[in-house]
Amino acid sequence: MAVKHLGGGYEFKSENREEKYGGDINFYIQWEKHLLYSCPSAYRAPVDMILRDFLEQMFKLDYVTHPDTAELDIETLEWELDQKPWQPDLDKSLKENGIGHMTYLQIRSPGLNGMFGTGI
Amino acid sequence: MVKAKRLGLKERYSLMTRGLDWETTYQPMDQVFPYDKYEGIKILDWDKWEDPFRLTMESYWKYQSEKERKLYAILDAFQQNNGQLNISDARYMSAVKLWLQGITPLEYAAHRGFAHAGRAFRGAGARVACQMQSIDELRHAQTQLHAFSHYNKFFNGMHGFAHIRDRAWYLSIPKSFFEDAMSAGPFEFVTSISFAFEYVLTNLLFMPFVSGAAYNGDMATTTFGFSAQSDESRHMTLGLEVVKFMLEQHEDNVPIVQAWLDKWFWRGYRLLGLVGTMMDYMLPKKVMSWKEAWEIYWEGNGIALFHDLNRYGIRLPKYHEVATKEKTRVTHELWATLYQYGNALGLHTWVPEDEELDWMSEKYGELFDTMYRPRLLFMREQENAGKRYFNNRLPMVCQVCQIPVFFTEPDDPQKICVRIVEWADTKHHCCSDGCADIFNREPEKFVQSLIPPQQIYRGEAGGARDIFEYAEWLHLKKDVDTGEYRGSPDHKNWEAWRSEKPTPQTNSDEAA
Repeated sequence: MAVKHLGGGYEFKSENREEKYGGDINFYIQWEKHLLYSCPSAYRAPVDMILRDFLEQMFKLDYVTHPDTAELDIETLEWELDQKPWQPDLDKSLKENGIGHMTYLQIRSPGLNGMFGTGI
Repeated sequence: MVKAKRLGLKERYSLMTRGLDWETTYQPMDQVFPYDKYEGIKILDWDKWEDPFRLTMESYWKYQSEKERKLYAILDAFQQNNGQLNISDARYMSAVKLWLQGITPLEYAAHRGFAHAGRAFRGAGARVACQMQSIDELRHAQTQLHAFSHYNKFFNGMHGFAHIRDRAWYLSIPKSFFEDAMSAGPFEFVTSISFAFEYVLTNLLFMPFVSGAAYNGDMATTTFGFSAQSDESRHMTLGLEVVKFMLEQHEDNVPIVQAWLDKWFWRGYRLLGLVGTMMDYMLPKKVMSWKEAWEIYWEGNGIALFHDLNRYGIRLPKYHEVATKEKTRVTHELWATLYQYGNALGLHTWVPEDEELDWMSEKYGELFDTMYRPRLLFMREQENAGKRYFNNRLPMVCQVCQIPVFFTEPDDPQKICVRIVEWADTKHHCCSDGCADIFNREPEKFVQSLIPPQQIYRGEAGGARDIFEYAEWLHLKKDVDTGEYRGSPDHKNWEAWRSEKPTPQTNSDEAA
């Protein structure tokens, strides 16, 4: 389907296109079964940031209130990239790992399934 | 000389909407009315338009001015008697703040939208109905502002409603809803606002809010609500009339109208999540739960209405069963979201009191007891330990409804629902199949959405780099306008006023 419109064309670029990020990207990550944090989190980061640094220096600080965060072992995470199973190299950059603008990452932490037995 | 007999209301209406209208000859009608054909709606005979109210301008002015005189008399008395001290609790003000910030601007947007629709239709009956509604909506925006303005002298977070309307992340939800409708053609606009919102879903918006105001001692809002009620019933009638008119005029209109009903049912339902959360959490004295309201007004009345429309070939809107599955969750998920992003909200959030939690357990049962109640109690523990929980990382937001993506999968309340959509090599995220369908139907439209967290990251929110700088850009003062209720100036003032009475201090007194 397409927009019905008057006049000639109806073409607009995406408001959130990558070129507006000055070499950085906008991407998203969600920790499954940790619904104390009720939404996937949004980030802006340089493409050459090492994935391990992102997890240790940004992600973990954001999730600091959750009791599971202190026990989180990032080596054992199970990953999805854009909802498909995926295995990153933590010591490579976001870009080398194939994490691009508007990528959606999900992680699962075996053994850490949130609070109260209901994924909170 | 025979004195001319005075015309009846019905005859005067008929003259205004039929006799005074004409076919233009200097310019072709299609150029005078350029907007009412491109959506594909076929109208064979505009004279078949039936407006059951048949109101003339003369009678409109007369009724409305009488009503407003009464309304303003009551508002004056409310102010002179310090009516703000009679509300159930200062927490109730979060509901009023949400209405002022989120819904009052929609009344104004509706005024603009109906003014446009009132120019766009070539049928005079439809034009007149839209013009009157346009004036109604402007009056509603004004009377709401007047009713609420008294509270602004005593409570925080209400000072910049027009400023934050264009900036705040949670207000882009109602704002984008109306801008989607206003940027569509006139038939889609009236279907979306008059029918889907004002006819099908209005009881879920108006009834809880006005009864909630009455239950919680808010006479200003209650009075406004009753004053607007006769207008609202006229708007509902317009909504039903316009849909029946389109469906009766040509069978080719049926699939177009159905697609609009699918879209606007879902968009309206998503928007009402804010109202449901207000009912369950922001009203210290509860009227009914969101779940109960949904069962009465949608599962009962709404579905019956769609069965009536079945004879025109209209079926129930897509994903209505998903909305029904979500009825036990959506308000708890949304309150937890507002609570954690409270550093950028122009209203306060809190963990409900024990008796409120018990009420929720009674209304929502096992799911509440196993998921949401423990989460709220965890938040309370954190707060009591001096570590009030905030999530200061910006969230993913739905490209269509602009709500942070907190909804869970229809059949799994532990899994967040994300749908990835794509257009012209760029990915976007939606909160549901309902919103993904809306995106995929008009991707060129929705790729233009201004999504607040993305706007912040692009440096387009006054250069704000985090949620605190963003709140400053909204002109919201940390822990005064934003954040936790307990210990806030609103809370402290309220306690002081209630213990001392009779003379309340204002915010400016407090600053001095």
